[in-house]
Amino acid sequence: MVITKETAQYVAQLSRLGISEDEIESVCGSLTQIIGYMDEINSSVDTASVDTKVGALTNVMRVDEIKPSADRAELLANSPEHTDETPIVPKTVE
Amino acid sequence: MSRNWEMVIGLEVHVELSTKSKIFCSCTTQFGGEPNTHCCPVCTGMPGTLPIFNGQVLEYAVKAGLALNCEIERQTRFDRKNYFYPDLPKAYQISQLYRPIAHDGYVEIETSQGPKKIRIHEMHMEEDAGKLIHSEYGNETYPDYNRCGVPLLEIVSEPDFRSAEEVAAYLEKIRMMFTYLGISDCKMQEGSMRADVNLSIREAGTTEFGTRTEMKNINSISAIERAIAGEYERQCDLLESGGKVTQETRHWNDDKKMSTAMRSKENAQDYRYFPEPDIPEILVSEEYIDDCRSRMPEFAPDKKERFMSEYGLSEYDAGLLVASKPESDFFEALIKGGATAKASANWLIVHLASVMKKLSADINGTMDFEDAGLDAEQMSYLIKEVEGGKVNRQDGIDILTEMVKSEEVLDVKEYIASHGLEVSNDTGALAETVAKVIAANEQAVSEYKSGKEKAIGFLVGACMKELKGKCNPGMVKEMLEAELKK
Amino acid sequence: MELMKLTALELGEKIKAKEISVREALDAVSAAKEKTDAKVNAYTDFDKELSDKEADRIQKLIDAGDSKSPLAGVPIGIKDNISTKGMLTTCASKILTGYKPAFDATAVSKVRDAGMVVTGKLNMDEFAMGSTSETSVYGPVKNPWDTGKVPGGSSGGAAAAVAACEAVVTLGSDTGGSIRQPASYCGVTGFKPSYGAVSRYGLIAYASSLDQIGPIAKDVRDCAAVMDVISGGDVNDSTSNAAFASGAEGVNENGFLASLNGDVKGLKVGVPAECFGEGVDPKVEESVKGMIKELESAGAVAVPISLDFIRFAVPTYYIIATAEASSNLSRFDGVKYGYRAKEADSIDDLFINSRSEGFGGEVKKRIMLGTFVLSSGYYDAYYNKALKMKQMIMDGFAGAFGNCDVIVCPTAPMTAPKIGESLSDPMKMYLSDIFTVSLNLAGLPGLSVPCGFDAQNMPIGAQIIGPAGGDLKVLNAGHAFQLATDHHKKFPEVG
Ligand SMILES: [Mg+2]
Ligand SMILES: [Zn+2]
Repeated sequence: MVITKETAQYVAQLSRLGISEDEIESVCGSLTQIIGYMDEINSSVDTASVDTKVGALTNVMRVDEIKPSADRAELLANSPEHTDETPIVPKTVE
Repeated sequence: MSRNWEMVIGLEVHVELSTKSKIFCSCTTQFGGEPNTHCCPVCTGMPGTLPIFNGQVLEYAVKAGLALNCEIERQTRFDRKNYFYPDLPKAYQISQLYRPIAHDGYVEIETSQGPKKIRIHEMHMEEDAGKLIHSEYGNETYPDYNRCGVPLLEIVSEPDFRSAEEVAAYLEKIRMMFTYLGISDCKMQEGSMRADVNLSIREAGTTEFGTRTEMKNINSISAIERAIAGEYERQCDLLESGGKVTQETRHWNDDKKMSTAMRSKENAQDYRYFPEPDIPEILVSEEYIDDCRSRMPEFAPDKKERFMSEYGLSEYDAGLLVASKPESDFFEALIKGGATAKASANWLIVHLASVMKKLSADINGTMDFEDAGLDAEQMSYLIKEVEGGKVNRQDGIDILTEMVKSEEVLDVKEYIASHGLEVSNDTGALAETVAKVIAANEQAVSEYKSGKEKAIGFLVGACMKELKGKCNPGMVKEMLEAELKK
Repeated sequence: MELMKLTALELGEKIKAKEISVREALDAVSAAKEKTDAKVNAYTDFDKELSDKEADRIQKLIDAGDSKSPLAGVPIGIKDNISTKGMLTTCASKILTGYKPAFDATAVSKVRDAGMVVTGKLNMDEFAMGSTSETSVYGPVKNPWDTGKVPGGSSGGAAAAVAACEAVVTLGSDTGGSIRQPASYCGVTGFKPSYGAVSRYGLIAYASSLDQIGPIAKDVRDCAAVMDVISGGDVNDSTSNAAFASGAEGVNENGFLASLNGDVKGLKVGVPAECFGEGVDPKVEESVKGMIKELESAGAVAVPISLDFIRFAVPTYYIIATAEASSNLSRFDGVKYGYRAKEADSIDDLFINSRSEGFGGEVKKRIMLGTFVLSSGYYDAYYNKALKMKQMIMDGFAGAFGNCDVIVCPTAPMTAPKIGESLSDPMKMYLSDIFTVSLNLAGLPGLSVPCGFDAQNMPIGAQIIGPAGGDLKVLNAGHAFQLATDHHKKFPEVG
């Protein structure tokens, strides 16, 4: 299938990536190439009767126990913009 | 409903589970706390961290699923729901879509038209998101991740509701069942129970669904009822004026009593769900389900019936008691402690209720039964002492107040002794007082003797006052009557 | 410089025998790095101050006789996508600029517990997405055998550092061949354990269901010794599998290293028809077949097998890997760590600008590809179909292992290409993973061992594949080969 500009922009928006007008052609081109390759191979593989099986591990759980939380300053240390208590982001409400 | 439009409502209810720790890490689930102090690298989505599933969540979910008459999924697993928002540090929520833990159930509710079944489409386990604190003046928002990873159950109903009354009954029923199961406190004001309302209208008698709107996170049952009424009116007005309902998410403003459309920048929601690769599948065995089933509690309606038949309570009293599982359990503990059913019910419904009402008013807040922190053994002793005439009723109520206020368990026996509240059984001192009071109150005595029986009350009061309350009023009355009839 | 030609175990022995100190071993690595890395560009960060302190601490333990591991005191380099507490961990990406984790990956804390000294971080393809180590924000890694060629990827720095003798041993990660293929291109030994054998906690995820940490070293014995340190179940990783570590099939109570005996008598070596012939460099084929001969002369039995699913392994891999990556990489949004765009008036602007400026081209392309295969309307045709093809690959391998104990094939169809060549033809790069990706899809262990050189004196690697949990079988076959040959003992003149 051919990846159109619209599809590429939709996917970019979902991924929170910006594509400029200059880039869009080449992005569509390479996505079309890879997806075309996938289509070609996939269509030759019959998976109608295949059922995926349960993995090697199941029911991996822990007991309900509280352990001390992390040091807040340490958690925030890597945030590029933060107060003493929280990261900072642009306002999400009007 | 004056109008010829029928409302059709489906609900998505989120309930926070009362596990000690979060669903995928060991941080506390405690409500509140300084921002970002109930957090660790896992629940703040640090790169390279991985979720570890809390087994208690599975047990609570299976119990909830059974209470909702659902089929329990035997091979369940988590899926990722992908979307960007600053309250979701991984930018995906670990939830369930393809194999939710429970599905195809129902909840039976009581309505003014009789019982009705609301079908449950599915119920799944997921993690809660954080909270956003908005700056009052500046253009800033501050993410607090304390709530990130608190376990949630999301219960998705079929569009079976036809009135706000049914919605309220359904929410009350879920709250009752979940608090009885001890899996959630279902406090809407603290956000531990939240409902999203999907509402559409159609001409009465038709079967096709209209276009629906969604109202999210309304925080009390009465506000939900108002939101439903408001949104119903809005949609009716729209259609009657030749307009169309747009499928959108709306925000209900309970102060202005109106809803507004939320701006949606995203074209469509496309959550790109796929199986969570970091958590192996979960196989739920028949034994596990049976074990959960065997530990299901007696729910409120059955308990109410039993309280009426076993303890001879009125329907009203029994209903009041079973409204809270802890309180109804406490009631039975009082009986076990030797208090009579009638007195126990009376002390809880009348005396405790008024004590708590007064204390709540003092702190300008609300208190529920568990906040009272009462000890059944001590309270049952108190009831026995008061009912047995060994402590005055008013003193008993004061002691109860102290019991509620006290942080520790109050030793009632010791308290009575140290405060000298024991009613005197010294008949000599009583007789002396009675004689003294009769001598000092000629008018009342003559009134009594002339047939005004009410006058005895004044004389009893006078004796009580003289004895500073340390006496049994019944006994005083008896002695007065005997003396006056001489 | 001779010190740097020792294996990790040889170096560990000298440290234990007090012939050299931990500090001297560390200084040797540091000096080698100073001398060589300008040409190779294997390191993204080298924290001499921190590692000096570590070295002194460990020296005390060794002096007190408190360190049992044969690797105590040995310096180790860590790929830049594995979390190291207080040390830069950036996945060679601008978007993780300045990120210093508050915790160690489980594998890292285990190597520290064993007394190994973490020296620095190793260059890689950005977010492990590539087969050439050219997309790093720190610039491309060069192949020590020919600095005009790529070292392979994505653990290119981890392999090149060992080959250039500027690291003794390293930890890499392998999602579709990222340990084995660069090991092959650089003429060193690289091992991708069974999925679950090593905890992924602290490994910054590319594709969670495929990622696995493993060692890159001078020989198989070093790989086995590192496996003894890093493998095992982990309460912080639900997908870690204790059964694949010590106590796994054939592994005695003293671990992988102690269980290596080089005995391959009667070992059935599967030779898959699909991995030879068309599309494979004749010299590569010749060398790998030479290795099979060598194993046969040591008593192994070659059996022809078929792995017909190989033809759809690459698309299956790219669908699953990019789908998971699109989700795993969503957390990099400029809020909690790393790079944040300067200009952002709204939350969406902040996300979009930070991500657009912070991620490189290949990463963006794979995120978009992954988003596409999961998006509404395409999920079944791509992602769901890929899950079924993955199941067919697992079943296919299970069938093959009904007829043999291990499988041998080329690690890559060609030797290392020139720098710049693959980026211009991405499909060619994707197909260079054709023999490695299917193991990740099936969760199997795979080892790449040097088995010869092509006409330009570029190393050739052979891949030994085992069933899930058969890590020892794979290591032992490789060990048998290295006992009989010396391809792994050759070193490049970096220049
Ligand atoms: Mg939900
Ligand atoms: Zn946490």
